[in-house]
Amino acid sequence: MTPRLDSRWRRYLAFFGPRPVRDVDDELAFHFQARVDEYIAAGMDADAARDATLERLGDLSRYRGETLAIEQQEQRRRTMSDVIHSIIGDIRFGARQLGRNLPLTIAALLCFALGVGANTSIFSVVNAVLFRPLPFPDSDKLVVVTEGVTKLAADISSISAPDLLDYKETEGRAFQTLALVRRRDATLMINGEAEVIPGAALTPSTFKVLRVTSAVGRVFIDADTASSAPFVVVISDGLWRRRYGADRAMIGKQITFSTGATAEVVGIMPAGFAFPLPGLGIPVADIFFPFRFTPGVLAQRADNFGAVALGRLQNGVSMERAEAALAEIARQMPRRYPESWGKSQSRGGNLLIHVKSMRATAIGESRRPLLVLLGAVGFVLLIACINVASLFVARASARKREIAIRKALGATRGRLTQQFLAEALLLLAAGSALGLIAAHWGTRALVALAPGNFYSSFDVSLDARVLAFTGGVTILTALVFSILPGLRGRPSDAEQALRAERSATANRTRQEGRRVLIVSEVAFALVLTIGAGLMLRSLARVRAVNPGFEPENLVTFFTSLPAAAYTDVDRIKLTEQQIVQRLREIPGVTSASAASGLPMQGDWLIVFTPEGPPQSQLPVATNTLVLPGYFEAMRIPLRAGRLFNDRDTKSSPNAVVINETMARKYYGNGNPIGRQFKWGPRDSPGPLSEIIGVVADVKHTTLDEEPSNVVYHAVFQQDTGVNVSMYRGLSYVVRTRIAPASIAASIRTAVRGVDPKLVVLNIRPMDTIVGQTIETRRFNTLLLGLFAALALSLAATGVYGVLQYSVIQRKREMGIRIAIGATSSNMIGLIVGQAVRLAALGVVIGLVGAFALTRVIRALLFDTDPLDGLTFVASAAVLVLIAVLSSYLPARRALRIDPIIAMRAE
Amino acid sequence: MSTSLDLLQGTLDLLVLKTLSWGPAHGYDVARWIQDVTGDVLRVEEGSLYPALHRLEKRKLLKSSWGLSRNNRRAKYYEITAKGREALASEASTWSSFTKAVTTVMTSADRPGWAK
Repeated sequence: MTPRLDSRWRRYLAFFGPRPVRDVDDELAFHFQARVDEYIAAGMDADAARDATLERLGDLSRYRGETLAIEQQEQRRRTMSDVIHSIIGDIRFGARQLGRNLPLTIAALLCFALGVGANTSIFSVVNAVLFRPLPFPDSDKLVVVTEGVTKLAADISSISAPDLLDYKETEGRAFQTLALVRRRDATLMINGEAEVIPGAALTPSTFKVLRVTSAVGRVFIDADTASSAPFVVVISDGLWRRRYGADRAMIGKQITFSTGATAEVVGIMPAGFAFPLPGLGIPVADIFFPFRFTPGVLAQRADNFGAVALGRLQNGVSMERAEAALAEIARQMPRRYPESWGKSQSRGGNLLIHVKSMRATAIGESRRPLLVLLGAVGFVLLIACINVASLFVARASARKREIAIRKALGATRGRLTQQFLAEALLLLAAGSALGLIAAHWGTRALVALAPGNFYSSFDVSLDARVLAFTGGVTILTALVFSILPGLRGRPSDAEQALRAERSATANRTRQEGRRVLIVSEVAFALVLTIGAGLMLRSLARVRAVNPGFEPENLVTFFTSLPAAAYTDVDRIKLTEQQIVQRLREIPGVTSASAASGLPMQGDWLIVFTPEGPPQSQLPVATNTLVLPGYFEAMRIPLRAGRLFNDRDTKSSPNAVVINETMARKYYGNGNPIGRQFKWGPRDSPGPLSEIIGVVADVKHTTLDEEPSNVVYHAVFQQDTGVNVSMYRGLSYVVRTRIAPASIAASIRTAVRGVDPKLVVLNIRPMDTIVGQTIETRRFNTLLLGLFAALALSLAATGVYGVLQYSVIQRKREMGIRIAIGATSSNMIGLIVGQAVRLAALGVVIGLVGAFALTRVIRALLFDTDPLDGLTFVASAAVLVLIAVLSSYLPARRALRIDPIIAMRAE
Repeated sequence: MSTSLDLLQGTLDLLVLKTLSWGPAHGYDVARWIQDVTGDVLRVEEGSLYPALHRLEKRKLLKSSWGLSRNNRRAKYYEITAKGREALASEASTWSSFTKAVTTVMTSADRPGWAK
């Protein structure tokens, strides 16, 4: 009995490699059959022969397993090239698998891309603001220098300009260079229209401190600051493109200001140069002037703190040492300048000097909101990942049979994992690539939409850290969520799966996995929703805050009377009165007036002396010079006494109106009317004023601030001193019955009716200005709300997907239920009830999470408890509602199942 | 793995090698031959032959090829290799000295010293 070899069989083996399972099974089958045949031949009947054979063979499945194990030992020792080939094969196979269920794949892809896109955008910004150095060379040496006096009851985050010349003595020792920056907006005439351009005056050394230079033309040189030098400006790339059509020939050209003065454009800064940085108290400028130390500026030593000093530290010098070097000079100031600092010391106390890192100044208060947003967006990504994971788990169970066969065929656990990983990586890499593209635009949108150009001062471009972040997120997600299905199912499961594919009710362990997914999605989404809900509630509370006046139907604008044409103080006052009179004559206008500054538009702080014993600290108040009728036009309620009227002039006793906070703080419980007030420190020569009225508190800088001291003086009682500059330009308020937008033309006509040369600037409705003060809060709330909405929709999709799949899987069970008479409400109740139970568990976990996490955002909330009951309850209700809605559709689908088809389905 | 199992496995290997030393055969033939020769005293579970056959093949003591059985079924035939014959020779001598030693002990009439 020589074995005859089947040559075709040999060729087959050579081509496809050994097929151990089939071979072993054939071998065993042959043995089994041969033994049965023999028993039958010996006279047994077929059944008995079978039983006897099985008994003789022993534990067949054990022997089969052992034999297969022996065969497979060799297969595990694979060469490197086998591995590479298998990876390529896996990727191809993965692509085919993903392609087989395109809608599901695309849904997962989009979920992940959305998550990665949102995450990368926020991370880019966080990275730029919190982690990356400022976009200047060697930027860790950049510092901000500020002055203060010990007894002043307010922070001065700036410096008196002339002092810088003294501090410059430390250049070469503590500092490489020091520079001075001051706000200086310009009113440009562009195509006959006046436009206020935010601007700054800079010492030429500013460019040395920052180590930046112009893209076209030159920056300032010391000669530009001489009073005899021609007037020159440097403009930003933005202004150059927006207003001058990016014309390179602009260099050397003259630009015209509304006053009629001209200046030569000597340089254009590069794109991306956003200066001054946030935190310096000066908006990002589009036009730069050389800072000139005129006699007027030099006279303001120890008086006007309107400038910001920047410095670049000398190599190897710490901030502390630099501060010590400056403090040494500050100590000498009273002796050097007895007229200014000498006098100041006796009332204000010693001059203090502070050196702060420019980065810390620029970041300011933005760290916490940014981290909260990053956390929120991380939750969104987590939910997106769970969606992707549920896709993989669902597909893994759908491919139970395939996996079982592959396992039985000798695929090791590692081999299967590798294959799932390839598939997951393929999907997630594509998702990440899409997400990165989305992030590119997302980051741009964030920078463009953020209030106050905040992010434009930071370098938000994609860098290695951002890419590593996104890559890391992708790989981690792929690992965690793709290995899980690969690990499922032990070899015995595999055999079972091969043998029987029928299970009238769905497998319990697989259901478990999906339950975990639903519960965690609901929990994460709930935490986010609660966070966003608290922010929204805060925003609503801030918006509902009474600013102390009525911003609705109030239009404001600014007009300045040029110093060249208006030299006489009385003429200025008369002209201003005429303008107000003309405004009141406009049809639809109910009242009009003007003030040196309006709420929410910058502060003018003065030191004052209340009646009574000396205070340990110099009291500070916001000062406002007003024309008669101001309180009436603003509708600021009078609490006691009277308001200014036309008889409060230079010939009558000096009068002031104060706000309630100041009255309470400095004039106690008694009636403040008739008591005394002094502008300036106790020993200053200024005249005493009498308090004639107390008005309601007005929010002076932002809606979410605490009320502070405010004093109002009458413009008509001011003399010719420095204060002329404070009322030469006034902000006018016009209360109207008609739409604010339609009144602009009438306002221009009215002002030109007084003097055709006057320029009307910034006509804006007051409620817009008020809204702008809470823009950052609104922006952060908007983002958080957006993320919460994203989280909710992702969670809804996730729950829907999981339940939909579970209905398909339980078709047979559903079919049986329908066949034995389950009603449609039974069926809907079954599926929706299941979803709601899971959602409820998720809600409980989410509530606990929110309970722990919302205290993180306590600092961002306004008048809102981080554990606000209504927000918690409403958010939980939203989540449960979403669970109901997203399970109702799959439930309806279940109802359409035809019992006969369903029961045949498996 | 316990010694007794090793012994058993080794014994089965030895039986298989010995069987195949007569010529190529498939698993069923091997089982039948062992059954016939021992008069069915060694009730080897026939399934256990297959792990043994495959293990011996892996150790290159056997080689296999697919062929057709007498009644034209596809069957796997095993054949002993030269290495297998060497192994059989050395295993067989180990086995006979082992059984001889055990037999000597079992049939000895000499009492041990402590029992005298």
